[in-house]
Amino acid sequence: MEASTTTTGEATSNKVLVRANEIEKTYGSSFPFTRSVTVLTDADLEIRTGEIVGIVGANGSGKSTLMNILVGVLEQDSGTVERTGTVGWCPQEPLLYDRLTVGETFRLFGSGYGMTAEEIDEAKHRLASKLDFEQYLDYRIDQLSGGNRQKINLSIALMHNPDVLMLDEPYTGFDWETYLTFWDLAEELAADGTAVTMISHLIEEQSRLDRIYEVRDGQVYDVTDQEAETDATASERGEATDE
Amino acid sequence: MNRTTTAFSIGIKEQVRNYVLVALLVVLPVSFITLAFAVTQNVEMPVRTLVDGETVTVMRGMPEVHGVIMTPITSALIAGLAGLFLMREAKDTDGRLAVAGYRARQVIAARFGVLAAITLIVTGVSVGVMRVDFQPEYLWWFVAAMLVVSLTYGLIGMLVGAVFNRLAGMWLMLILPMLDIGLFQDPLFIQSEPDWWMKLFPGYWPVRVMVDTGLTTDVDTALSLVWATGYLLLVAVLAIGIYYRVTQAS
Repeated sequence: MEASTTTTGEATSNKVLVRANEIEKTYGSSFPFTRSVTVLTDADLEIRTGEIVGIVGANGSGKSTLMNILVGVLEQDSGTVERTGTVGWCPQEPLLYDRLTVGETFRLFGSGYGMTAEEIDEAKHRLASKLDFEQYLDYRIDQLSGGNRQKINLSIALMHNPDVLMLDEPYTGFDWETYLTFWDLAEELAADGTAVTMISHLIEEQSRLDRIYEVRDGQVYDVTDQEAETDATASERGEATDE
Repeated sequence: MNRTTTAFSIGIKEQVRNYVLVALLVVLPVSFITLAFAVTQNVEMPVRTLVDGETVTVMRGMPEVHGVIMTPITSALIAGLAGLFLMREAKDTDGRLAVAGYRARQVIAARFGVLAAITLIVTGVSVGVMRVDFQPEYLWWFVAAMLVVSLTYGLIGMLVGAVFNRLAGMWLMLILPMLDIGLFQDPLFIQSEPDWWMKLFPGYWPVRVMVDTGLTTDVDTALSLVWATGYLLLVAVLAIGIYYRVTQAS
């Protein structure tokens, strides 16, 4: 199957915004005596409006590879990706320009999103207030702590109110308050119809997810029901113990 | 302000804050060019160049010849490092600009525009410092060849940055202009025509122009400037292709 990626129109309610079919990806090497690594073999996935979707899996299972393909920064070897609406992407490592200030970073990416100067300014102050980095707007990125860099990394993904939000472990380095604020924000966005997709490692946050995909052996499994059963079993066990 | 202009103006700000680059721009021209004139023994040396279409040997002062060679080395070295830094940063982050909605041509225009602006400044500073000690016979021909060789090295810096990490890339971009312009093309070292493989280096055609228009009273190397420009265009096409590939701009 040939590789293809299409991006179309605007999102409507309860609609599939991202559909990946039979995605295959192998990291090769052009150097002799080095081996190639097959990461995804036949991965299928759907993401709908208003869902909070978690992508889970062991280290090296291909979660970030899958997300990078869904976003469009990495090309799959074969399979198709269809995207509808606008995308916001928060990569695992903050991909920001170290010598730009926070304000300049917003202007650079806002211009890419097609936002006016007023819209960029409004988004910058709204997110700075929400995630508590107002005092750092004139700081250069390389002068920020890891947690504050991550706040900017996340804000750049959110600033244009995208239809689909792709987050690769977005809360790395966040303090507890910011972590809770992040979840409030994610739930607000999902309530407004944004499809929020995130790579997650934390068991306790799986109860917050509407759908859970596990990347395992190169394929993607919908394990939402299994997780629900596990939760229910654990809950029953807890009740039994209490009794 | 459109996307290209925004990315270009912010890219310039970013480079102005690159203190290593700014320090190189201040320190290298003085230490390479001014010192070359100051410490070189003032004796007449045979120099190979073109006169009336014929390769001949003329006698010129060694400080002048050394200055003529050290000026493009300085400029090529700084432009090459600037290209390297630009590509290293672009490789990591410019893909995110594509996700944000920038078209490939917009990011490419901005990034290559920043490199062109740096090259203009580097060339201007290098030639300005050189003119304190030496006036080329045909200034604008000399400057044109300087721009071509500097821009070529800037783009080669980008190509190196796409393949090698920052440290390996820096070593390469320090050594390459020294070997090419300072050894293979230097008429003080190579008295006869350079070997065929030396002519493949980016400095061959521009240095012919600089030696001719800097040290002789006729312009005999117009065709060499055309070849140098062709070489530049070839490297530019390669650099754009590689940039497009490594940043996944779409």
